[in-house]
Amino acid sequence: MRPALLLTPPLAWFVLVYLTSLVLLLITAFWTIDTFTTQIVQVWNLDNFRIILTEPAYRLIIGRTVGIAALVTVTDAILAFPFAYYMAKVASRRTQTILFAAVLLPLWASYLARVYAWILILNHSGILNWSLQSIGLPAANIGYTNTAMWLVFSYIWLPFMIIPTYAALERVPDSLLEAAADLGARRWRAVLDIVVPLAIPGVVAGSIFTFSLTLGDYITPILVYSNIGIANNVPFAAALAVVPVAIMAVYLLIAKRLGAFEAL
Amino acid sequence: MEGAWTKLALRIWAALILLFLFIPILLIFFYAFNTSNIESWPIAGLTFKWFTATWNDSDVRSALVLSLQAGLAATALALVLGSCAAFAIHRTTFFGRDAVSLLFILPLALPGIITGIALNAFFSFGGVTFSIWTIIVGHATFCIVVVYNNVLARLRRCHSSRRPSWRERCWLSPSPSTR
Repeated sequence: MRPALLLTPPLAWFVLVYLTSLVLLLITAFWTIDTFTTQIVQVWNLDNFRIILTEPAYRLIIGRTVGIAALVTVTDAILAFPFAYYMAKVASRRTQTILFAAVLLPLWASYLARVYAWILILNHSGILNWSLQSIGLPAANIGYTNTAMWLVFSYIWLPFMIIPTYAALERVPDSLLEAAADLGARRWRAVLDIVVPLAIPGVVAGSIFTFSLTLGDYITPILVYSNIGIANNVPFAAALAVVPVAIMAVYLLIAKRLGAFEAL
Repeated sequence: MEGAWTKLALRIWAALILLFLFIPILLIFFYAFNTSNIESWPIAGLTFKWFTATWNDSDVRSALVLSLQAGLAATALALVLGSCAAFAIHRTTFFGRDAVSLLFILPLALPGIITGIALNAFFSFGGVTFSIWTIIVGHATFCIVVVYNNVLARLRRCHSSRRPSWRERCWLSPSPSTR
């Protein structure tokens, strides 16, 4: 089949449904709402954005969101890299397949179930405190804190970091490492100078997911709860939604520069 | 090759990561048999009553049916459209290819809630009432991206494979007129 014919149906779907939706969202963000009738008023203005930029509460929430997303991304990269390296370069073919399946398996369990599991672990009479107390340590009440957010987000999005990192590491030819060894490089040197730079696109590809997914999840409550759920203020919610879109646009530009798109 | 200690350290690291990934999921299984509905550890006792309760709950059942229907329809759509996109992008270079490939990963790169709110605006603007079809459209949009990414990754591996027969097969595949 000709590529143009192949491309037309999915592209049409994306332009018609997805791109149109995003553009509509952007347009809605510049509208406002009648506070009495809660009807959308189609008058162009920048009020929504002004409120987001000047209101300290929103600035605080956005700042914290980006901070947590960045922290989760770094944590997952650190957790994932040695694991992916073990998978790609040390484990046998069979172990590789098993580990690959094991990493993907948790994604099949519902997101909600996995979050709920952490509530069971971290809450006051949960398994964490029980374990700590049984070895004579004081209880750690980190349930419902920022620490818990960081921990659970890192847990939930970890597979999204492992898979692209593993894929990138797997593509690093062993012959390069052999050549480095022949030229007298120690193993650590070879890993730092050859493997890590070649794996960077994979790590950055993974970071797109971990960063974006955390960004989205963390911002969900203010987006839906306070502006669609309660006040039904769709234009304001749209303006708030533009914030992560803008942040991700910058992030994607940087990621593209680092070659992440070819490693997705 | 890695030294023995490095290998051991990597193996321990891998084991810890697996524990981290699976302990919460195993825990959920335990709690499914908990006699008490108070969330504390250790669990009070073992019972099957929650399974019968879930099975007899009509809301749960109808939700399950709806999930299956939406899942099947979205998957079918996504398999066809996502594969089309991957093959087209893989085989050609054309002006705007980068923009198109960016568009195809955007639903993954942007938080899911954004896709949701945008589609919400789209449907309400077009006067479409929410139904299973709007659910399918939303999920299909996201799933197309997942299929696209996986198929494209496979096609790329086909290129980078070190086995000559594969490489030849890739290079000899019917080449598009644009190349």
